Amino acid sequence: MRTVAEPFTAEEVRVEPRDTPGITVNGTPADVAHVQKADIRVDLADDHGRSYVVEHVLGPLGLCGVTAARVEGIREDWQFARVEDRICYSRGVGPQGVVGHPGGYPNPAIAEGVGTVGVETHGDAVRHTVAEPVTVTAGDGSLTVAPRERGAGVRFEVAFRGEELTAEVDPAGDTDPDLVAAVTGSQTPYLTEDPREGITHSIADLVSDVAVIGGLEDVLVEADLTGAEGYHRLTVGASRRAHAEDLVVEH
Amino acid sequence: MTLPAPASVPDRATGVADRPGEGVNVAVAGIPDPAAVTATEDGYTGPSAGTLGRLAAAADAVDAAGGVLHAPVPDFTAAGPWLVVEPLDGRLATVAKGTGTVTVTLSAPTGHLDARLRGLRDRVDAVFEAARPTHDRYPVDRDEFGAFTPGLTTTEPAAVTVEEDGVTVTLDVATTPATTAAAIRQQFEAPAAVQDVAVTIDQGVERATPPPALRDAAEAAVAETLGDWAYEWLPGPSLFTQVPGGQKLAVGTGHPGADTYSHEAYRQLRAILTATMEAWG
Repeated sequence: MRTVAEPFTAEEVRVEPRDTPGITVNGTPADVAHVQKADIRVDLADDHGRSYVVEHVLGPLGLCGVTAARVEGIREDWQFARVEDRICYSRGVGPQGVVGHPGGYPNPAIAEGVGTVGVETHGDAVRHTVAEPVTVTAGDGSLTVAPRERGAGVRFEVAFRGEELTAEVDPAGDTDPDLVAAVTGSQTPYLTEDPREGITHSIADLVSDVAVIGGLEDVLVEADLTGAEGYHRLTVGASRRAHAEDLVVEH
Repeated sequence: MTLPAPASVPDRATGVADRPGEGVNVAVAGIPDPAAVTATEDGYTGPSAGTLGRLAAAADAVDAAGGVLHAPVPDFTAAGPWLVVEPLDGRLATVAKGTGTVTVTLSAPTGHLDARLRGLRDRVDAVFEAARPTHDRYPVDRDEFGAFTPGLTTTEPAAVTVEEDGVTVTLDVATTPATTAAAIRQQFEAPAAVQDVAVTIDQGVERATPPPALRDAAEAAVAETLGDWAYEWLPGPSLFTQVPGGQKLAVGTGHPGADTYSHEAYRQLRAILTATMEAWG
């Protein structure tokens, strides 16, 4: 497993090392069993509470090769234009549950923070793929996760709103820094009107939902996210199906 | 499951409301005239289609799961927590935005009649332009799904008064916990002809604190019925704000202001209310 060498603060979250595999957000494990919502955003929930827009945290951590960390929301100011803040206020809890970047970016300060403190590797690198291709559809969108050989990493071949993008991500942290910068500097397609920026942003969501939440390190992801009516239905949906059908294999 | 014949709903609701009951109180927005509602293949249509459809669902749920249906008029002295049935598109609500008034006084336009009319129009347009919500991060001007504006201070034109010595534009304000009179004044001060901006906050934001077990029951019921729960703020005074105290939670299907109410919305609300009251006990 790979964890951050030291704690750091990245705008609305604090990231700390963890000595067991997996990433937790406000105490909730970031895995398919704890996904409460997956459409236009991803929320995790358990007895610790509910964390909102977690893909903006998990994406940058996954892009930087972090597989173990404890993430805590540290926001204190309300931003009521955000529906997630209104939900928290309605339930009488603070805004710490909303860990997504207020500007709609895969939190670039997390990537910078990981770069500053470094990553420590502990134990053998266990890697996972799928035993056979997994395809899900939602609305007019579709996504297929297919096996890749050990060490190959995650290859994304994505189409979205008339744009196409191919990206290679190494879940062990050896991803092209320019790609990481481009992805974390791209605003969510729900806010930007630039389709190129939207598809670039989608790589962070794919890393979050397939590599981190799905725990898949060596896969080919072919996706047409257009018309999915909330494309996390596809990205988390594929991970859910792979786990539900026992198709996730260590290799 | 389909909506009952409109004409049958008032008697059915009255019968359930008249029965002795205990448990959670269920408040509905009165008993509308069923003659104004038409049954269609898809559900109800008519100005009070939603009110009648939600009443039908509430009556069924109380009949099945217990509780006390308050119709046509709520007894606000009743003990216990309240489920308040509102058009919330399947969401829950514990918060209602506050209310206020902003009065913008502008100088009188001068010159010949045409110039005065043009000046009047320009002054009113400038105030309405200033009234449009803005945000430094979010595209609130193209908020077609209402993602941002429910959380912003918003205004609605209420009156324009033209007199010899000036023009007065009055707007109703919906406030948030972050609203300040100073920020509203600043919003309307910019147009050149503005002489004064007066802000009155009549009612602050109301946030209820329902019993956690009731909230948990309602969240679970909505998640079971719709796949997930969510909350939204009510836009202002409503049945919810009439219920005194903080032991209340609003829930409901159907869109505010809609003149249709579907069989599916009826089925969903009936299921949500029934499951909530069964879990609450």
